[in-house]
Amino acid sequence: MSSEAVATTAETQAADLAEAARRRRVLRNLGLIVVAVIVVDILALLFVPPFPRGGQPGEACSFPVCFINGTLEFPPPHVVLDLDPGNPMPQGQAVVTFHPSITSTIVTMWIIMAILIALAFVATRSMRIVPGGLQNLSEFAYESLENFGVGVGGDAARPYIPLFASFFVLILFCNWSGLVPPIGKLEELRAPTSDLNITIGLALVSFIFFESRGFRRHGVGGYLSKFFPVYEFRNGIGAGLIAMFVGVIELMLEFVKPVTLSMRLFGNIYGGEVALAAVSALFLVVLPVAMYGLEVILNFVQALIFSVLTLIFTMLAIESHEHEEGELADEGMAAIDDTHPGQTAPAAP
Amino acid sequence: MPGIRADCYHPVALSGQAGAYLALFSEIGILLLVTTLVGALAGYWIDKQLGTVPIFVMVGFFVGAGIGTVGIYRLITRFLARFED
Repeated sequence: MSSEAVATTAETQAADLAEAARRRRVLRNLGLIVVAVIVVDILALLFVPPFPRGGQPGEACSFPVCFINGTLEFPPPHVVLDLDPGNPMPQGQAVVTFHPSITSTIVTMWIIMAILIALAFVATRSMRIVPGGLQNLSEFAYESLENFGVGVGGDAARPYIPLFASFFVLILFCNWSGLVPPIGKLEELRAPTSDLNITIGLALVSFIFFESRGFRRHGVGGYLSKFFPVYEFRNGIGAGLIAMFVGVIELMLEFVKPVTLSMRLFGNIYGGEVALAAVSALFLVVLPVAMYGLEVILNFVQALIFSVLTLIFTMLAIESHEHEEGELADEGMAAIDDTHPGQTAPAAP
Repeated sequence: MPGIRADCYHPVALSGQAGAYLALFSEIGILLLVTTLVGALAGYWIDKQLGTVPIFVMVGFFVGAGIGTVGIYRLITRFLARFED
């Protein structure tokens, strides 16, 4: 073996050994971190044990019910500022109540909005052709979302990308805020999207937006004809009745959209927080950390689903429903074919 | 790839398609849940008014499930028509 080959082999072995040593160091450090966190967790359990909700530190707390109750959040948010102190807060089993107040979720949302506005201001304050730092990050994020949105809705979706991106970023930060320790632990702070009132508000903004786009594109009569296709009566009574029936179902389903949007977001985020709280109360560090990682991903996916659905509903609202008119006529004609053989559907208006 | 135009043949745009399908599947599940639940609750309310439990609960359940099924069919057909044009 030549001296060059020996040298190369020695270099390769040295590199392998260095790589193996680096891996060992990383694994050792990770192991030390895990052990340290477990030790801190055990010390916290011994010296700062859980106490019953609403009780004082030091009070007896039975495992597991008291442990879980101490970390759980309940659906109604904490009222930070009562705007109508003259009237008592609604109590009891009523599902829907009204009492003007500033809640912990609204406060948290205002903080998140302030952070996002400040970030947007700083990122666009001194724009350069060759971006750097925060501007670069912002442009990358927006371009990625733009490409994603165009992938969902095609080129026709471009005018709606700012709304899609805004919904995504706001909801993403709202979702993730619940994973930042002070939020959800202090009464005055809580993840906004874990409150049904907030998600209903977001869904209503989305609903008003995509309906208004539909009305704007097709006009009041044109858009409403999707739900009340009276023109189908020109194809016969049977076709008209079927089309009206389908249209009424379509109208009912239109109002289900904000319900599904709000319920899905609230259910997933609130459910995730409850699950995380329960797992954190019952287990030492390893399982809660795994759950935490899962929540990071799920919260991202939920923000994406809400914004993508807003975009899809907008695209469905603005698209022409002429082909549907044809479908309805065909369906109607098929239904009454036996009673009116040979009748053909006229061209859609 | 259906629905992908030449100017958006980009990995992120492709994942946009995946995101759209993810949103669609999510919407399908919750649409059926919400319509069925609303139908059953509306039926329960009617039953309580008339004292006919459980007739309208069952009627509401099946009507809600039926409307949900029609809604899913309409959603999927419109969605696929949009993406496979």
